[in-house]
Order: sequence, then structure tokens, then C-alpha cells
Amino acid sequence: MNKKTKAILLNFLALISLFLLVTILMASGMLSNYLSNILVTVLITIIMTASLNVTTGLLGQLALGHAGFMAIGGYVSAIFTKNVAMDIGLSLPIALLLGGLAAALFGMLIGIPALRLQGDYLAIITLGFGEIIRVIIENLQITGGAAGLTRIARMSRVFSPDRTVSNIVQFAIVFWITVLVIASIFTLGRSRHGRAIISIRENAIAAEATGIPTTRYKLLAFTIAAFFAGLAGGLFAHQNGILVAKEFGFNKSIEYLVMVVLGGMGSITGSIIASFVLVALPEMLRALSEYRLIIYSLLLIIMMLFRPAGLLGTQEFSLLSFWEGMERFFHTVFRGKGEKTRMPFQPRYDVWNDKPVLETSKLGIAFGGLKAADNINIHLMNDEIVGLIGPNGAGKTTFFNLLTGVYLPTEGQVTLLGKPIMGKQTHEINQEGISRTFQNIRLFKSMSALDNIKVAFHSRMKYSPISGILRNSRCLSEERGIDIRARELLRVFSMEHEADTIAGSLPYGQQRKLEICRALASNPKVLLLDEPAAGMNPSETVELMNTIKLIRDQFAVAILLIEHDMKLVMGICERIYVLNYGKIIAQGTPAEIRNNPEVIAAYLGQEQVRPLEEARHA
Amino acid sequence: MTLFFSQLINGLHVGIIYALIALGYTMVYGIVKLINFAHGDIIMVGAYTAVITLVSLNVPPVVALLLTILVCVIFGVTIERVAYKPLRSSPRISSLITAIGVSMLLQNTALLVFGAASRPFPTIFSIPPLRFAGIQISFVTALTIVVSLVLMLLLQTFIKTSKAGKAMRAASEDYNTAQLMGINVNNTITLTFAIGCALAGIGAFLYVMAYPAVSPTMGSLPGLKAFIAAVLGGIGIIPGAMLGGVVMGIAESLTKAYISTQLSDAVVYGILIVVLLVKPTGLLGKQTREKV
Amino acid sequence: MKKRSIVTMLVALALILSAVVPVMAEDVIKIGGIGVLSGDYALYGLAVKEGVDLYVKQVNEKGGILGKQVEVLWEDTEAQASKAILAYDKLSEEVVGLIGGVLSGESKALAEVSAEDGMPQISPSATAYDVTTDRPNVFRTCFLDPFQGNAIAKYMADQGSKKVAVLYDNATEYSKGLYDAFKARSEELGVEIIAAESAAYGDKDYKTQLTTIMNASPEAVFLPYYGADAAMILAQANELGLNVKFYGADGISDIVDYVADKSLLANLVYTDHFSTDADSQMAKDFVAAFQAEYGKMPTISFSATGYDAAVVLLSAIEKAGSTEKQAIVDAIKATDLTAVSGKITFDDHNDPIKSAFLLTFDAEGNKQYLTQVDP
Repeated sequence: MNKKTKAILLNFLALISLFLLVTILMASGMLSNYLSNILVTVLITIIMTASLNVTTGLLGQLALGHAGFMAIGGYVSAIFTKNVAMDIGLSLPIALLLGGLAAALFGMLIGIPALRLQGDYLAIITLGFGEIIRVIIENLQITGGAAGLTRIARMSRVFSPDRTVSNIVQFAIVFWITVLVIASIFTLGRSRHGRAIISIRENAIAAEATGIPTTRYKLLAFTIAAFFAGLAGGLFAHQNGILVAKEFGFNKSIEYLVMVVLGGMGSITGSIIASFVLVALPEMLRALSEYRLIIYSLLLIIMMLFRPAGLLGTQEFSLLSFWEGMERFFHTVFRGKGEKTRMPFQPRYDVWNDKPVLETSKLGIAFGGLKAADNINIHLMNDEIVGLIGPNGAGKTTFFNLLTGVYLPTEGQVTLLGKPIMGKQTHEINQEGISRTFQNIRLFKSMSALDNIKVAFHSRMKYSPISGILRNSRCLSEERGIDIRARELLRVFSMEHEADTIAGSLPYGQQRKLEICRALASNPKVLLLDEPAAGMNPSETVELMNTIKLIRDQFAVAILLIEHDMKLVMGICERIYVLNYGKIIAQGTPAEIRNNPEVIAAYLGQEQVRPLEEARHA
Repeated sequence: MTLFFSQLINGLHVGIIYALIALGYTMVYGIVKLINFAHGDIIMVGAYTAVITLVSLNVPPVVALLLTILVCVIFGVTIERVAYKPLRSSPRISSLITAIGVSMLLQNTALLVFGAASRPFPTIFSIPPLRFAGIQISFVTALTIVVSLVLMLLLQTFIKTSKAGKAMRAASEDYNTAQLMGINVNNTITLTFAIGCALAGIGAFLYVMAYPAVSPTMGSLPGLKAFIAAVLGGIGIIPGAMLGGVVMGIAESLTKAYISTQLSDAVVYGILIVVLLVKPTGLLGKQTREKV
Repeated sequence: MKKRSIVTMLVALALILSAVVPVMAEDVIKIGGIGVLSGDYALYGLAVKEGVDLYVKQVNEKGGILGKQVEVLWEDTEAQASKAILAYDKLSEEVVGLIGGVLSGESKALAEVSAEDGMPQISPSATAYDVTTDRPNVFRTCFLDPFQGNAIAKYMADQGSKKVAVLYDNATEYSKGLYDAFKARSEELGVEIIAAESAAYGDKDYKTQLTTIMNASPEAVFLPYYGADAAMILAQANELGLNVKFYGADGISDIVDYVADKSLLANLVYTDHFSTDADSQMAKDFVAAFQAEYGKMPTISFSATGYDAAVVLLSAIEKAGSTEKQAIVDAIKATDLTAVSGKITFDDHNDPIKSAFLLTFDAEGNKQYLTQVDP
């Protein structure tokens, strides 16, 4: 028996024995109906908090209407089981699924408009939708209006005339559904889709520039969270036998949010622990009646003051290996035959030896009356290193933003490999072959160096979210492929020993290198470097120069770089464009630029004389 | 038409109270980017102070008002110092949860001290409704509107012209730079909370004059509505909060009067959503693009 | 690792178990009391509790029933259906009968689960019609919404009010149910509803609705609200200058505590389960005992119906001679006794056949008996 199978077996055994333990306690009457009901409530709460953690923790968006999705799931599934003449054993699973799907549909419908907004405005919109759902349910005939929906089959009674047996069946259903939900959120979180979602939380602009269709992934996260909340709603309806719309208001959503934050945003285990504690605690404090809510709120404040990141932060604590075991368990169940390592899809570019790979014609943008870029015509040949210099505020970064679709040009055209790319979204342009780095480093700070790079491989993999959840052979082989490639890439930059280091804790120079490394992972034809040497000391700069040359040689990529460090620019660039007031004022070889009177004038008027002087003596 | 104007005035009355409370939200948000969920409960604190001073201590209304403002300010500043200040560099959601915790603490403490039952607020002015071109305006409504407008003007003048007001604007524009420019940001934040809570105190007084019941949970609904009003107007923007409050109040009133009373909340939230979709940063918000 | 997670779970379970150690005592008959005891509606639950506790105390002083002392275990529902069910699960294995719930919504939720066990349940205050429908084990000691809706509509008609308005809360079962019951009867009696406005739950601003109502110029306004909300409505109506007759139902009975200007109440007429002015000896004894025990008047009539619910339940246990559930249910069904709020017998729908009192207030806020409406 190898280590892997052993781990799977152990984890599975742990779950089974936990399940059996509770079952035995229930069967023997040691766990009263009351306690088993609380236990079921805890499990449903776990589904709610874990799913809210997908939007709030993983995606990083504040959602204040999660209870609304629960309501939809609850009502849809309850209406189904009430009106369908089917054995409950059959109708319940269908109802739960329907509830989840209905909630997911609403999640998507709400998400499409709402996700255009950011931060607190998004929070308010979700709050608004949550309340609208509640008010509408209150006014519908089919939902029972204010009186609520009553006489829904209760899981704790409906399966058997013997209450204990039925109770055990209820526990079994809810327990295993919870296990499945948690496992899928967890596996999804570690797939390429999960990485894409987390990268949006870390830095949405960088995620988009790295080829992640951010809007689509926000929507995916929203829909998944809504689906699970709907599922929980269905379970809740069939736990209680009655649904009252008023109970699904803003306060309920807040209650779940509190649990997610207390557990630690992004930590599923944290959510589990918080759900357990925050459901069980008020029940245990019942004896203290009027003091219990005061104690509860004080604990909340103190907890936040002393552990602002929540109980577990974003960590999964020591249960991590448990989850890995779960993953492997999933994988053994759904494994296909003949697993192999699938290398990431490699975009093929035609040979562009004689024609430019990137060309702009008359490119320009006006912000109001200000022309930040005007009539820019540049071209990049294959494997060329070209510099873009100019005084501060000349429009260099704006030009990069035009190339990458961050800003939509008001005039002109950008042609990449002979194809016009203007008007495409940033992530599409990235997939077409332009990658970039940023002036102020934009790494996915709390992800490991390796994961940073894996995010960039996103569009070079094909497996679906479902394969990601199931971790089937397709997913695993592709993941293995990019793991190899990502490590290779790190090795090229001599960073392989930092693979597991959290990106935000790397030294500055390494962070710059990692960002370049990430930009290369999407296999670009054109690499845009925005001030790669900013903040570097002379020896780091020299190292960087070597790296850039190495990139060009090894990756067959054309490089356009913005830089103020003239030593670097003059040292490695074959050609240089000079930008001032949004216009190209000069172009040519480093020697030509150095002696161009217009360039000198542009710089002399500014504060940049010294570097130019230095460069001349270099 | 008379009916329409009457409803408009009803809406204005509610709206201007929302606006007064929303100012507290928006000023705090402008500087520390915190949604102070406990702000609504400051209204509750103010209302209890008002009812106790007026009924139990039997002081004149003016003294009661001053005491209400004082107590609200003390509460607000204490909460800021104890609960929010230590979290200024933490993730924003942590301070949000702390604010929710503070809100629950205030409510539940009030529940323990005063009980769940609401207390009636005495009638201070027994003045019959004013009639104006066929439209009837109750005295409390007129008083509320006038007092609120004056306060808003004062606030606007204070922020535009005084040194402390400029410091507040600077801190709201760029917290760190303001600090580098020698502005004592801590004091500025304290002042912001104090002004917000003073307005909430006056708001509380006006609120219970219109809705004469004081209970532990009374602050949550106006608090939530005012917060939404602040977002509607563009959170962090002071005239935005005023506009947002008034728009919300009038929208609510006209919806109830002419569309549906049952669905009024849904319609109001619907309006909010539509406004935000068209203007993603609120009515008066400026679209700021993150610098890449 | 795995061991650790199991251990963690075990410890957690042990913690919960230890928190709820059941106290087993053989010489006590336990009954459950479930209702809203905290939050906005707490007063009604507490009124019921006071009534029930008073009777149980009296019974225990006389030696209990079946030779045993009676103990009431109280659980709070926080006015939520799901909490009511949790409370039921907590008590159901210990108690022989149940008094509750207090609000109609929570009573329905309780009935849902108690019916599965055949647990005897008596609600002192749930007036919604379908609480007892198809629930052979569920009873109540209060009259129903259709009955009080009818009583109010009839009284309005008698007073000559032909055009009336209604302001109700669409999201609260009690309010909506009363409105529906009132609407159903008023048309037959020739009372026309010329304006029906609803308000969102929790909203404190009724001025818009009142302005609309005022514009329709009704002769009377029906307010199916609880006291606190009704007080708010009366104050705002007064501010707007809407001076007509107002009507309420049993939930409004505590309004006097919420109104600063008691003279506003002189315009209000409402239906109640019990009047402290009632001349039955039992009612007088109850008021006296209540005052002696709690030092105040039973202003909320649910104290009386709560007392009666305890009377009905304990008498039935005594009569059944056992604590077996079905025997108790049968004994309740056969109840025929006179209690504080009147004579109690149950019809096919398990509802008591009893009278309603129409009350109003004087300028100081004291309740005034107007008339009695018999079924």
C-alpha cells in the first residue's frame, strides 16, 4: 500500500467513523432529537458559510444578500416536494437540485449587471437584490405570502415512522451533502478556475492582464456560491417543515458573513469551525438568556481586535493534509484509464521574420480634451529589444495600456501578427500574444510564487470547472503538465527554490523577476516591461539586463520596455522610441538617440539630465 | 395635485432625516473607508437619552437636546477610539465586522437595561398642522426640514472654510499624504466621528419627534436606509449623502403613494440598483479609474 | 492528524452534551411553554408566561395534580419559526403537554411538529384560522381572526360607519390574516373598504399611507396591528390631522404603554379576550391574584388566556388520570369549564366557542368595557 492510498483510506475512514459515531450516539438516544437537530443546523450553516466564502473569501467581494439565495433554494425545493406526488426519497434529491439550480440562475442573473460594480457598491447591490427577493416572496401566492410555506415534509420524520431512524437518515443526507459541498469547493479552489478566482481577489488588473477573463470568473464564483446556498436552503426547508420569508432578511445574511470573517476569509476550515461555534454557542448560552447576545457581540469585537484576519486567516490549518487526502479520494473514484501528463497547450505563431510582429498606426487617446497619446506609429520586429523612453508624464504607460486594451484607443489601430486587436478585452489580447508587467509590481501577493505563474497558464489549459471539482484525469494530467512547465520557468530565472514562497514576502528584485516570469508563462509573442529596473540597485540592474537578453534568446519574444535607467536602456536596446507629450519625437539606435537634439531638449527641460549624462560615459 | 405635494412633503420629511444620518456614514467613510454599522444605533442611544432626560429628569427640551448631542458624541468618539482605531490598518472587512459587533453590543445592552418594550416619546410641540396653499404640513415636518437644511448648510460651510474642515477634506482625499502634510489625522478622524454623531444626536431627536417610540432596535432600519442613501448619493461625498437621503425618502413616499405599498421596499431597492448600474459610483460620485 | 480531527469533534460533542444534562425527576409533571420571550414581541410571550406561571403556582400550592407537582419549562422562539421547532425538539421528550406558541406564525410551526408526535398543544393567543386545521392535538383558548374580524365589522356597521379604510402589515401573518377576515365579512355587512394600504414590516413611517387614506375620507380606520406599531400610527395620524374612529383587534391591547398622549386612545375601539371589568367571580379572583403576584394589572389579555390554557391543560391531565398524550388530547377535546376569559368548550376545529369583548379607553388610558359579542 503506497502513501497516497493510505492517506485516502485514512481520511475516508475518519469521515466514516465520525459519521458512525454520531449515528451510534443518535441510535442509542445519547444524542437527543434536540441535539441532532442542532447538529443538522450546524451542517447547513457550514454549507452556507463555505459557499459565501467562495464570493467573499476567494473572490474577495463583499456580498450582503446570501440569505436571498438560500430563500430561493428553500422555496423552490419545498414547492416541488409539496406539489409532486412522488416518494420523498426520489423527490427530495430532485428538489434539492432544482433549488440549487434556481438559486444559481438568480445568482447569474444578478451577477451579470452587478459585477460591473466594485467593492461597497457591489455589496449594496447584493443587499438590494437579497431584500427584493424577500419582498417578492412575501407577496407571492405560491410561496404562502406572509404566513409562509407550511407543511413541508420534514426529513427528521418523513423517512420512517420511527423518529430515531428518520433522524439518522436526515443526518446522513445532510452530512454527506455537506462533505460533498466542502470537498467540491475545496477541489475547485485548487483548480485553474479556483486560482483564477483567487487571482481576481489578489489583483484584478493583473489577473486580467495575465489572461484571466475576470468578469466570467466573478460570475462563476457568484453562481457557484448561489448554487450551494440554494442547496442549503432546500435542506433547511426540509429540516424545519416551514419557511417564512422574513427569516431570510439582511440580518441572516449578516449572520453568515460574520461567521465567514470570524473563521477567516478564504479558509474553508475556518468557516466550518466558525459555523460550529457560532451555532452551538448561542444554544449553550441559552441559560444566560439576556446576557448571551451581549457576550456574543463582545466576543465578536474582541476577536476582531486581536485576530483581524479571523481564526485561521486564509490558511486551512492542519486539516490541509486531510483535504489533500480527500482530493486523492476523489481522484481515485473518478480516475480514467491511462493517465498521463498533458503539457500545456502551446500557441503556434507563424514565422514573422520579415514583417513586424506588433505595429501601431496613428494610435491615440484623448481624456477629455487632453491627448495623452497622439498619432503613435511604432513597430516591433521579431526578437527585438526596443526601448520606450521619455520624461515623466510623457504617456509611456498610457501607451502600454492602449496596447493591452486597458484603455480603448480613440483613434488608430494596433496590429499583432498581422491581425487587428484593437477593441479586444485585456485578457483576450493577452491570449493573442501580448503580456506585460507593471510599473508598481502587481503580483498575486498571498499566493505562492509557483501559483502566480500557474495563474498565467490558465488560458493554456482546457479542463472545465466540473473536471476541476472532480479532479478527473484530464484535470490532473493538465495540472501536472503546468506544474512541470511552471517550475521550468522558475528555473530559467534561478527561482526554483522560491517556488513555494508567498509572493508578497519575496525580496523586491525577486518580485520583479517573478512578475516577468509570470508574463512569460502565457507564452507571449510580445513582452511589455514597464520600468523593470525601478527601485533596483546597480548590481540588480546588471542582473536584470542579462535576464532580459536571456528572455529574448530563449523565448523568441519581442520586448518593448519602458525605462528611466539609461544605462540599461542604452545597454540592451537595439532601437529606442522617445515619447514626449503623447507624441513620438524621435526614434533610432541608442547612439542616434543620445545625440538627438530634440531628445536632449525634452530631457533638459525636465529633471532627467543626469542619467543621460551618465549613460554617455558608460 | 395637492395630494401629490402632500406626499412629496412626507417623502421630504423622511428623506431629510435619512440625509442627516447618512452624513455621519459618508463622512466617516470618506476618511477611514469604514461602513460604520453602529451609526444607526447611535440614533438609538440619542433617543434613549432624549426620552430619559425629558421624561424622567424632566429637563426643558433644549437642555435635553444638548444632552442628547453630548451623549451621542461621547459614545461615537469612545467607539472610534476603542473599537475602530486599532483596526485601521487591518483588512476593511474586519472593521466592518467589528462595527456590526458594536452595533449588536449597543442594541443588546439597551435591551438589558431598558427592556424590549418601546417607550413613548412625549409630544413637545402641540401646534396644529400648518396650511400652505391648500397643502397641510405638520409642524414637526416643517421643523425637521428647516433644522436639517440649516445644519447641512452649517456643515458645508464648516468643511469648506474652516481649518479643521480642510483637514477633513485632505484626509479624505489622501489619508497618508495628509499625514505627511502635518495634519493630525487621528484628531481629524475623532472630529469626524464627533460631528457625525452630533448630527445623529439631532437626527435622533427629530426622528423620535416624528416617530415617537424609543426601543433598542429602533436604530437599525433608519441606519440601514441612511447607509443606502449615502451609497446612492456616492459614498464619501457630503452633498451626495444629502441628495441620496432626500431622493430615497421621496422615492419611498411616492412609491407607496402611487405604485405599491406592498412592494415599496422592492421598488426602492430596484431604483437603487438601476441608479448604481447607470452611475456605478452613485449620483454624485466620480468615476475613478485605478491607476495602472 | 485524523485522530486529532476526531478528538476535536468528540470534545465539541461532549461540550454540547454537558451543557444540556437532563435532570430526571419522577415526582414532577413537566409541561412545556414555548413562545416569543425576547425581541419586539416579547411582551406578549411574557404576558402569557405570567398567566401560566400564576395558575401553575396556584395548583402546586394546592398539592399539584395526580399527586405530583407541576413544572413549566420555558423556551424562547425569538419570533422565528425555525427556533420554535428547535425549542420543541428540546422539550418534546420531557414534557407531557405544551402551551404555545404565542404568535400565530410560531404556533403554526409548532403545530407542524407537535402533530407528528400527537403532543397536546394549547395556544393561548394564536388567532389565525388554520393553526388548528387538521391538527387533532392542537387547541387554543382565544377566539379567531374571522370571529374578531366579524365582530369589528359588525360593530362598525352598528355605529353607522359605511366607508372605512384599512392599514395593515402585509408581511406579518397576524395583520394580513385579520385584514383578510375583516374584508370577507365587511362586504356582507355593507361596510365598504374604500382604501386598503399596507406597510412594510419594521417601517416606522406611515405618513404616506395615512395621507392616502385621509384623501379617501373614510369614516373609520381599521388597524390590525400590535400595540407598538398602532401607537406609532395613531401619533402620526394625529400629526396629520386624521381624526376618525380607529379600530383594532386583540394584539393592540397593550397600546397604552406606547402612547405618550393617552387622549388619542379615546378614539380607539378594539376586540379583546378578556376585560378586567368582567363581572365573573373567576375573572375577579384572577385579577386579584395577578396583582398580588406581580404587583400590576394584567393589561395584556394574553395573561388571561395563558392562565386559561394552563387551566385547560392541567384539568385535562387530571381528568385523563395519566400523562399519556392521546388520553390528554381526548380530555382536552372534552373540556367544558368556565375559565377566566369565559366558558370554554371546543368545536370540531378545536376552537373555543367564546365571546369577544369590545373595549375602548378613557382619556387617562384606562380600558373601558363597551359591549360583548357572542358567537
